[in-house]
Formats: sequence, C-alpha cells, structure tokens
Amino acid sequence: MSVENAPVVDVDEAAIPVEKKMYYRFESNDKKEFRVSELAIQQSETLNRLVEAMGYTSEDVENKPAIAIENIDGKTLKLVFQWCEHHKGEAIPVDDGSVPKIVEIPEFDAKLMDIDNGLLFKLIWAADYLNIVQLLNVSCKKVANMAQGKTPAQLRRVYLLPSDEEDEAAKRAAQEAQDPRAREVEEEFEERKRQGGNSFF
Amino acid sequence: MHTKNIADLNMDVMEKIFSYLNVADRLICSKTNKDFRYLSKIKKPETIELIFDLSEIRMRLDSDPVMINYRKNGETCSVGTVLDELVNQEVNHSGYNYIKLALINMHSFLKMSDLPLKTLSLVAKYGRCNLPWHLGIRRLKEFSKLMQSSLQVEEFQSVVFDVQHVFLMLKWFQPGVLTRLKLVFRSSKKSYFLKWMKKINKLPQWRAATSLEIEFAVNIYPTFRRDFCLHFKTYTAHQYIFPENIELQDDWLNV
Repeated sequence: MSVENAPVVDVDEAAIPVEKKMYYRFESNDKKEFRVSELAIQQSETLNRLVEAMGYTSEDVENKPAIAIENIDGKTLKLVFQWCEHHKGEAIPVDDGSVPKIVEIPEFDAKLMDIDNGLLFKLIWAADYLNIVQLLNVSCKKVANMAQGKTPAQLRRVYLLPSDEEDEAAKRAAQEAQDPRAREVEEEFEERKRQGGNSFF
Repeated sequence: MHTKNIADLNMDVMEKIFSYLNVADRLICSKTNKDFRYLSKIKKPETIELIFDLSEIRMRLDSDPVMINYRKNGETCSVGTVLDELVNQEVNHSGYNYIKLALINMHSFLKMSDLPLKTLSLVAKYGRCNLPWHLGIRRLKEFSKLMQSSLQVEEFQSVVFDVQHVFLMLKWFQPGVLTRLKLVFRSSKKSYFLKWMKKINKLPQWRAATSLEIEFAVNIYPTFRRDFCLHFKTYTAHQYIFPENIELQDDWLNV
C-alpha cells in the first residue's frame, strides 16, 4: 500500500500541541499502513520507546519504510490506534502490576469494543503486547463483564473456550501431528500390557 | 498473533480479567477450563462470610461488594447477586433447599485450595434464622462429615442466638487447626447458656484455640471470666446488657 493511500486514523487537529505534530507510519502484518500522531503513540509504552530509539525526523517518517508491527493484523491495529488517538494526551496509569478495582468504561471505548469476541481478544492481546495500560484495563473489564450471570456452558461459548476434553483431544492431535510414531507406540504399549508383559522394553 | 480465544491470552492478562470478576462468576469460570481453575486456586478467597436471614442466605467472599444471595422462592431456590441491596441476575434451581445450596457452594470455595481459609464467619440475623442445622439431622450429619474432611480454617467468627449452635459448628473443625475464635452470643438465658458452655469448654477444638474475642450478656460473663483468662493466650470480652423481649436491630450484629 502506498503512503498516499494509507488510512489515516481520525485526528482532532486542535487537540494536538504544535510541537508534537508529527505522524509516524506503522504497518500491520497484513501490510495495512496507518499514520498515528506522536502524542497518541505515547499511550503505548512499547511504541513510544521504539520511536524514541529510532530517533526519526519528520523527513525520515515520510521517506523511510513504515515501522512494521509484525504480530498484529490491520483490523486490530486500526482499533488500537483509534483508541490511542481518542485518548492522546491523557494521563497514563502506572503499571505496577496491581489491578484497579473500579474501572469505568467510557462511551467511546464501549462503542469501539462493540465487536465480535474473537477480535476483542485480539485487541486485548495487542494492548498487552504494545503495553497500553488503560486500553488493557478497559478491555479486560469488558471481558469480565461478559461473564456476568452465565452458566459454564454459556461462558465457554462467550469466551470461545474448548472444554477440557476438547482441549486434551486438540493437544493429542497436535502431538501426533508432530510425532506420528507416538500413537503407534502407545497402542503397542497398551497391547503388551493387556498380554501381561511387565515391561515395554 | 494467533489469539483465538481467551485462553490464548497470557496468564497475567487472564489474571487481570479474573480479578475483575465477582466471586459468583469466578466460581462459574473455574468450571470452564483449566486456566481459570488454576486462577481460582491462586486467587481463592481468604474469608467467607455467610449471613443467615429469615428466608435467605447471603455469602460474601473476602470484602467483595457483590454478595451471592440464596433465597427460598416457593418450592425452588433462587440464586442471585446482591450489590447495594439490589438483587439481580437471579436463577431458579428447583428441587434445592436454599440452605443446602449455599453450604454446598461454600464447600466448593473451601475446596478450591489445600491452603487454609483465614476466616469463616457465620452470622444469624434473627433468633429464628435458619442456621445450618435446620437442614435436618441426616443432611446435617452428611454436611458435618463433608466439612470435617475439608475445613481448614484459622479463625471462626459467629453471631448466634442459641449457644448450642456454636457447640455444633465447632465440631466441624479438625482440632488444632482453628486458632482464633470471635463469638457473639445474643441471648441471656443463663442456665441454658451455662449448660452448653460447659460442653463447649470440653471440645478439643475449643481447647486448642489460643485467641478468643467474645461478646455476651453481662449476667453470664463472671462465670467464665477466670476460665477464659487462664485458657486463652489472647482474650477480649465485651459485655452488654440484654434487654429482654426486644427486637434486635441490624447494627447490633456487626461482628
């Protein structure tokens, strides 16, 4: 995707101080490009450190290739940057490992997170990866709210969770795919046991 | 990035989500998959409080503002959550006695980990409250057996109107595990109290405890003062004048 065609996340020009008006270009793993203001990037500790380390000037930003974020797809990254742009300039909570007990989900965030659950989990993953503390707090709170008053079966559907049996079966399948001899060995072992052999070897 | 479901998130994030859940939902989550089961073990409650009202029981874990409410609803038992006195998300369970269901759930919380619970608190709000032994003799025996095998509690707190209840409840605990007792007796019938207190005094669970905080009517206190002083390493007594035939207010019942 060319720089000209790159989607630009909505930006409130008036809210950006003049000296901070620099836009970085990022590229998702599916080659979608985004322009994000320097102030918005500060919400992400990871990206903030990255751009500081790169020391780009305004010319570099335009002339050098977009910064690749290889672990996150375009759909998720768009949500992340929309959130960062909306909350730019806001105080960033200190991540001391504690969990804030009371988290209010602002209206904008609630609308932004009105997405399917799979995408919501990707958003949480991205917020954690990019170290966006407040986005992680509100998205985790949203996921916790989804559990309210559900039965275990309903919750498995909501959280897209496999049951213990399905989980085990998937693990076994993955193991077998890695080592096709494993099942044969296991069957041989069971057979010998049935025949009364004490030792497999 | 290969996140397909919540279990693909890293454990710190799962723990954060789990921390936002209220106790009732934590219990449900622990039944869904092994990661949540693990989290429910490491984040098990330290304190369980059961408040017995006339036809409902409320359970609070730790200092969670959300309580689980078990209430008799005709022939069914309604289970819901309570926040600021508002009951919501009620689900009806037919064929269940609400006391039994509350106690079974309490037992589930106790089983979450091998670590001992810090505090178990049972509070009767009125003299006529359905405390656990109203389950009936057979069920109570079953429950006592269940509790004896799993109840590891350091501190037991209780507000009771009938001193016999303390005798029955103390027998749930393995002798030696319980170290602190905090009891409030809301009764002033001296002869009855003395009879049961003598029995309590002989229980190994009582003898093994080292700390006692007790509140009872002023007419009963002198009989036991010497015993308590000699037996417990730490001992505090609060006395009150019990006006006969008076309806108790809720604020009397804060342990």
